[in-house]
Amino acid sequence: MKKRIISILLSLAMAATLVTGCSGGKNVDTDGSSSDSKEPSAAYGESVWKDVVDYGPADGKTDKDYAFGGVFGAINSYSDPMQGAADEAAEELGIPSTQFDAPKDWVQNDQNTILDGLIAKGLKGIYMMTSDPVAGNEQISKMVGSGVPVVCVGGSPDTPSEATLTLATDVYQASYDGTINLIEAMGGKGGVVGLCGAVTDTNTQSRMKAIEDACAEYPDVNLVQIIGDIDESEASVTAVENILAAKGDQINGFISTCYYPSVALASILSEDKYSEIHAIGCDTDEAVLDGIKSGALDGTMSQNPWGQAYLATVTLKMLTDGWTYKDSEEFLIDSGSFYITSENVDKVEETQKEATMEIAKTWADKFEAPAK
Amino acid sequence: MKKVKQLLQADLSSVILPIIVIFAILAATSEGFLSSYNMYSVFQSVPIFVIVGLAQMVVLSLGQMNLAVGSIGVLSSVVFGIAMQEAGLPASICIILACGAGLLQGFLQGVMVTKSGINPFIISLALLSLYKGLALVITSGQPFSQLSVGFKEFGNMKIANLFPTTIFIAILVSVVMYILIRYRRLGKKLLACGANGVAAVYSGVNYDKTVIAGHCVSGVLCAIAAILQVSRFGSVQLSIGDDWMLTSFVVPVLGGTLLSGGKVNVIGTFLGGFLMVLINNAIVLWGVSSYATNAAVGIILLLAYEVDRMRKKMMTNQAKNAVEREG
Repeated sequence: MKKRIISILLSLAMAATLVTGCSGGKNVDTDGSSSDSKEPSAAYGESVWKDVVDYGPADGKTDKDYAFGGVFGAINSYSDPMQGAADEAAEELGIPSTQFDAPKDWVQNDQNTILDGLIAKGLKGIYMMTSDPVAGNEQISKMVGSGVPVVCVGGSPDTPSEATLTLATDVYQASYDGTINLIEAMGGKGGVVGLCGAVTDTNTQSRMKAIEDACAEYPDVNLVQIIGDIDESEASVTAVENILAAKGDQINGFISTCYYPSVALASILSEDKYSEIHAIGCDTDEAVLDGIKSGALDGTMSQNPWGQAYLATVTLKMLTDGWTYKDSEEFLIDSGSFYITSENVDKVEETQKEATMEIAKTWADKFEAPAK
Repeated sequence: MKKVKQLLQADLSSVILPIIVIFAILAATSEGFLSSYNMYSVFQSVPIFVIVGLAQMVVLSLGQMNLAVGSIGVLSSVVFGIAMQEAGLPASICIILACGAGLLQGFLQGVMVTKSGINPFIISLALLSLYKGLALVITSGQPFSQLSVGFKEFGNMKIANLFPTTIFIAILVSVVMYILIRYRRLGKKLLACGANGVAAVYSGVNYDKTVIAGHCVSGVLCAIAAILQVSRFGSVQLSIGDDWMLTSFVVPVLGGTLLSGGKVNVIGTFLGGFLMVLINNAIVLWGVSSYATNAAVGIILLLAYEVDRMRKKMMTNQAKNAVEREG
């Protein structure tokens, strides 16, 4: 009985703390009365943002208002360059360094937990790739509804969405271009195998369609098979080995649209007996780039995660400063994809940065400037 | 030492105390913890954890386990999606159909467990794959997102800017489960079969029927959890339930349910769900890397199992002492 009373009293005390603590109704303290005035840095002076986007906090805002972070859909090598890119943008614009996190798997619930926690910690702007393009939209609405602007990167959420914009690869175009590059490497004839990720992902379905469309344009090209749901280390190796064992004589090239099959191709096709088979990988992980250097892969379709995070951070700064995204602008902005071969394999980051800076030159044109 | 033993024996204290400790530490160390946004988010996650925990608790009461909780959930949600998006049925009918699908899946599982003679573990493992596979085949991987606006809004509705409406569903389900376990004949039969199946049969309990009924209840609870998940996401996703399995074991065991069967605690399971959500929240607020999350959940499960083992040992000792005293 005594224990029960103690338990009840402790629970009541906790509830009282909860009610008191929540009575403010706001996320975190936002004493934004004073502005942190800063001298523009050399990096700002050399950047494309000089004289376009203000350096440091806007009038009436503090560094706390510029606490931004990125949350990717899952732990994935694709997002490796993102935090560095976001911090580079933050340094150029005189705002605090960013945070970065991701759930271990592509599970929307887990991502929601991380996002909610980061906002509770005081983040005022988020760039993210939803773990699930449809289910993630509710979380985006929740964050935007509480005053946190959201810029999507990596892949678009289902539309309509309350995110400001999405910076992502045009997955159809990248897969189409990759397949065309493969067919050209094959001499315009032969059998093609497509390797894809989760079939539940709407982006995968676009990639599959792109492979089919590209193959259909060449009368001497036969699409042998598209294998889906193999973006896992063991599954991808097994799938590539099995298809080679079963239909090896019909296959002249592989097009991979996801990470693990690309790594599997880089490893398996390095054997001499497969020297006649061509392959195009996806993304620029070390193992894929090594595969290009060794000759196992003809090339890879690189996306631009660096540019996505960089421009997303700039966008969050602009939105916090009072800029608004023009209604006439597209929600989905193609951040570019590049064909990496043995000729430019050592210049991947430079290629991404150059492409990003090209987009950056006209970036502010997509926004309405705040009234001065 | 005696106090520690007493504390471990008291199921609710052993879950309430960690909640209070973590709550107090978070309140003191993380300025955003008590914000209405964060508290709402915490409460929004609790219902799924609780109901999934209850679904596993029912099967654990039989001394068995249901590895297919997530797959039953996703297939039920697919039925819900078809009924609402394709057939255009009202939400109430869709909910009944989804619960019916959960009931049917649980029934099939129960029948296979009792009639096939195959180890229940293998059956639920096979059904995990079968149900998920069926969901994928039926939908071709496509989500259902054209759901009724009212239903979508329900999942994200706020009361007093702090409580999601779904938390009250979780409370209601918990109350029903509490009554079922504590005051209804089925609850007593479930516990009797879990504690000692042979003794239960000799006492006149229809073992097979009880096991099937237990799996049916578990299936319906999985369906309810899936419906709540759908209302939160605003769409039927094929990823629903992917992350339920580990949670479904940790939550009831933290709350005082024995893995070996024969003893459950509904209130403890509710609080266990709250504790798990709090731990997940703490992992983010304390800046623990996502790389360490798996390890953290594993440690919690091991701790929960150890508490379970200690409780079981103490209960056995208590029973022995009581027999000796009476003797």
